[in-house]
Amino acid sequence: MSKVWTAIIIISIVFAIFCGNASNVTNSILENSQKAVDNIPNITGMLCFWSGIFKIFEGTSVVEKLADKMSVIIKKLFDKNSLSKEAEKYISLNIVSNILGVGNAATVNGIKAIKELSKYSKEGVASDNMTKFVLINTASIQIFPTSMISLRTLYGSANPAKIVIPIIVISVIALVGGLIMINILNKVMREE
Amino acid sequence: MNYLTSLVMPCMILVIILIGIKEKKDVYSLFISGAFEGLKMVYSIFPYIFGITIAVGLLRDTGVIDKIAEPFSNILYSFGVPSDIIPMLILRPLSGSASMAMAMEVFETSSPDSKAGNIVSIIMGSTETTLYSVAVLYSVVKVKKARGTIIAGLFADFIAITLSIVIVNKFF
Repeated sequence: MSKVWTAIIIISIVFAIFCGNASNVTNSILENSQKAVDNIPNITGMLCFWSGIFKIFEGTSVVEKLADKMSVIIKKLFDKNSLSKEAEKYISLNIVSNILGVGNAATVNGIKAIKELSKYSKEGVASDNMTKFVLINTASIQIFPTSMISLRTLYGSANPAKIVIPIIVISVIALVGGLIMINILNKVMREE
Repeated sequence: MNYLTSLVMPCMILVIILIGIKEKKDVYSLFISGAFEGLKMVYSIFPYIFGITIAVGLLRDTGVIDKIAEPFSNILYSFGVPSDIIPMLILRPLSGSASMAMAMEVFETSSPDSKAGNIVSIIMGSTETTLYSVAVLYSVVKVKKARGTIIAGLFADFIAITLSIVIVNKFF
């Protein structure tokens, strides 16, 4: 990520200077810093809210049962020798929130899950379980693509929900493809 | 369908609180301590979100994105990809709000039911902001070596994008 970021910044600035619109750089930075900061209340509000709601949920017996139900799948996907009970719980909650499309709840549980997983990893290096978990989050399945449906409705689509089935089918295939790829890469790119 | 989707969140909140009450938990104190944890999360992830917002902004405002899109547009056009979806494809892994803005532009110029509109909708729904999610999740645990995560994540996006284009061309 640090290479991607550095490359984007350098390419953009050099490009702007050569095209003679260097002032765009200054304006862009000014505008987007403000945009990012303006977003703080939204992020903070939603993360605090879902973190609070899930704190209630976490202590209940329902979560244990849910984690038990999902542990069959989770144990197949992850290396169980470096998977704590807590990690299993947060991974289940993260997956369920992703599927239901409650993104902020997924973030909250995702952060807790990766913290648990990192207890079994070398400092600064992603373990096999961590790479798999992050992959699942970058290729997640959503049953109700809510924002896309409402956006299509807003722009006057005749059939806003037409995309739902293709989206589910495609995201399942992409997830499976990504999982196969990460399993191969975990073997090729070792932890050293 | 729209009403059904709007039910998800309220029901989730209601069910969680009712379960908490049923199991005799101190719902209010738990909520407060969770909210405090949420605050700490924002503190640790915000700088990373900030970094990405600046980078994506520069990419768009300096016109680099259109320059990158240019050479691809002819090649992709021969595969049945309308060229106005390319900026969205490039921004998708980096930023949810920026790629959403690009999708809206396509809806505006072509309508959601056009070929470009359908492809954009399916891609937006079946992919995630890969680089952004990787950055945020790994930042929390200070991981510097992501190993294969980014390649595998982008590979999954590539599958989703290809399939979206194929399906819209064949079945829509």
